[in-house]
Amino acid sequence: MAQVIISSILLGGIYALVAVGFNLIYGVMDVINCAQADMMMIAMYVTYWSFALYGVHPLLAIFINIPLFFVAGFFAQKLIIDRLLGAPQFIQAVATIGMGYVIQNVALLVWKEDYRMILNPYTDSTLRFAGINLSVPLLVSYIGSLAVVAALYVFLKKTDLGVAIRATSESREAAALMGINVKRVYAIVFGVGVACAGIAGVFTSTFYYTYPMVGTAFLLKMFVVVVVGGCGDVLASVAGGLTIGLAEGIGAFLLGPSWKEAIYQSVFLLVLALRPQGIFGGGK
Amino acid sequence: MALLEVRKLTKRFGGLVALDDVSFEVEKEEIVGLIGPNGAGKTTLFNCVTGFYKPDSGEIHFDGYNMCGLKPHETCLKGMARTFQIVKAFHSMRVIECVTAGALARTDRTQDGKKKALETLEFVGLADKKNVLAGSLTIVDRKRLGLASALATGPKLMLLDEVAAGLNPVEIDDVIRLLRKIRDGGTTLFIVEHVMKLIMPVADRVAVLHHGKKIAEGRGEEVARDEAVIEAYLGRE
Amino acid sequence: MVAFQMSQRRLLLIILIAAALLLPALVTPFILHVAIMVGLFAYLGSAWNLGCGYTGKLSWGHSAFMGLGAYVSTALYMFYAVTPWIGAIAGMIIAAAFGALVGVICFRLGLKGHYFVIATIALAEILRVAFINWSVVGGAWGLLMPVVPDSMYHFQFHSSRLGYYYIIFAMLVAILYVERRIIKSKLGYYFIAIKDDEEMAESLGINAFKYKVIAAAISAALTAFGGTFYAQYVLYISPDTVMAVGVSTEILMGAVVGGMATLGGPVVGAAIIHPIMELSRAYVGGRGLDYVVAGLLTVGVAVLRPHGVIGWVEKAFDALASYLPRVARS
Repeated sequence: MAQVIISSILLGGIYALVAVGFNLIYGVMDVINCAQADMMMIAMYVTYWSFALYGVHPLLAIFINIPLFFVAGFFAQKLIIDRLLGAPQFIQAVATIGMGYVIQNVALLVWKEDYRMILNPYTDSTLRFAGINLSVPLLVSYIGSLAVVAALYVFLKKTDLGVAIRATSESREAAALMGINVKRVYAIVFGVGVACAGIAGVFTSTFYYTYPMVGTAFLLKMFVVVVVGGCGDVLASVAGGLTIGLAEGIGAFLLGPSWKEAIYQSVFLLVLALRPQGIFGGGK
Repeated sequence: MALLEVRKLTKRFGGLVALDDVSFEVEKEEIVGLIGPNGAGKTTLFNCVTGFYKPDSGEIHFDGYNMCGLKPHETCLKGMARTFQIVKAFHSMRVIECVTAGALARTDRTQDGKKKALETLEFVGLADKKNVLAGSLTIVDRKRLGLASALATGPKLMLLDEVAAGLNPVEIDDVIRLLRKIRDGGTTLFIVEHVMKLIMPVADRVAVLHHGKKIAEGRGEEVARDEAVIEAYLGRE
Repeated sequence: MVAFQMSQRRLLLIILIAAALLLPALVTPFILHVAIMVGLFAYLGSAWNLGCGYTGKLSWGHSAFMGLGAYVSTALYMFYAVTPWIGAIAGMIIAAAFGALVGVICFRLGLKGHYFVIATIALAEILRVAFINWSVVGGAWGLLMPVVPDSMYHFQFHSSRLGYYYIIFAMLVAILYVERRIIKSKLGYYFIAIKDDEEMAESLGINAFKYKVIAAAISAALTAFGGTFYAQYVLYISPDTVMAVGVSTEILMGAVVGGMATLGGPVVGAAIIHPIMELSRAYVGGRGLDYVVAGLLTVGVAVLRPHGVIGWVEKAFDALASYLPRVARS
């Protein structure tokens, strides 16, 4: 049972990574990307097929996914998302859900409903720690996710581009006045956000089944993580991800795994009631 | 008994005291004005009286009722109607529908509501635009619409929040005429205003707010000559 | 003096209604099935629209109400042999109560915008998980209803499906009528006022909280009746088929694509999306293409015409009507 709890907590790292991408897009562009989790699903398939067809070790797929998804996100923003910028949030959500549907179901058509799993010595390995069997891929994913998030945090705070991005998220007009190419920033941010999903997909495929519908479950969780942590901030996503992971773990322990989803939704409602701006409420 | 009695109203926002022990009265069918430099607390007072803010202490009595703690829609149903400084309208409705929405405060039948709405529109001079979409009106007409909607709720007291903002002198004269018409129809008016050109000719009495305190009260000309008032307006520069 | 006069538009409407009534005689069973699905989602979309489109409070959890309606009527039928018609009414009452509860929770907490949307999803998900864990009603396996010979009492008409078609047609007409009456009534004025500017509405004596909860309850009850219909048509319900987020999405998609806060929007939207989905499903044999197309349509409409396609459809309708003769008889 302790294993279930620890596993759920570790999963929180992945939630945080996916949420960070979403939060970045929302914080800077005010766009709700409901296709975020489905993009992660595609990343899982890319990782899987790199392994199945070319024998690429799953973790190395990160080097494939980062550029691939960044570029994909960059152009997706220019072609589609850009047109959604002024629309009411609900319409944005409906549109990106539509995108998610397209992505999910094209995957379904091409790869069918089969559950696939990467099977190699790495994904099978476990670590024995304090009497519990920890799945190594899960542990590595947790550490990896947090590392990526930390890297992003540094990027946003220290580099010129990062500062430009943060300026644009504060005020689009002010940023433009300072000479920042807002359109380019938007495309970059979307690319980064999608790349986060890309990396998350790599990690998730090492310990979870890869199948077309996997995005849906993660999407709902991601929304909850975003609200619980608070919109907009990198730290917030981490706090939210870890909290939900913890809540899931404890919930599974107390009530059994079939109640998991109700648990974290209840936590979500509790947070909404008591602290609507989230743990790290940044105010959007 | 006065129609509206405000006693020792106090409202704080964090450390800032927006209203400090303010008291005044409004008699039936009077036109009372409230002026004061920017930041004096006029809008805070306005929102407290109409139920949009909750005062920290003090009493508000209207038509014999204790108004403290009432929600905005409840204050309206008791007979207090208000307009908004930044003119609001139901942008997807036509003019007549906006006013009907107000009229439905007193009746459940849309037919009666529409009739009342039409009468009110004629009263304020907007009847010819009744089928225009509210979102496409000019500022002046939007203010008229706001007045009409509020009037349609059949209030005993109407509170106006800086109705003259953004109007040119000709439009201000129109508004003055309309306000007198409203008062003659039996409605009491309480006007928060920043533009002297509107308040002075139309108000029976004027109160002056500065830094949340009432510093003067009386007839327009008296207040305009009051030293404390002059200092408040000049001194704030 | 003309004693009787009918405009071209009304004539076209009558022709279309007549065609709809004659449809079963003219088409294959498959097309009839598509028509029934269109009718169902036009009905559900209208129910959603009543509560959400006009008030501006856009729920993404309506599958909870559909599921409640389906489960209540089905459980009463299978365990107590109560006719689904009465079960439907019970379902409507329970759904209305749940809808009011959702409304009270969300609006007391003052939830706005996407917080509100996600909260409705959360509440629907909690309900779904609760039903998955409730073995009395079949848990995750759900309930399977036995087929019986055509019967009004048992609410089944599987030999030819004619009964289903005319019932959903009647339901659709009924809900559109109710919708029209509500929009023209005080309720309608207040809903739209709340949507456009809640603060201004309050200043006109409108108790926004009360009316938002009323809207939620009405919408929930009507959606629940659609749930009962679905249960009687498909004869199988489970938490994942009637209470899932995907179902909520399908319900509101038609309304969004067609046009929210309009009478014809949900109908038009459903009439566009569902035939395409059903046909895609039939030709590819299984899930996949249908949602791709639906997704593309949705993105397209959201990007190009966020107010919905009803405007275009109305223009097409008028253009078609202009070819008809004016009917006048003195």
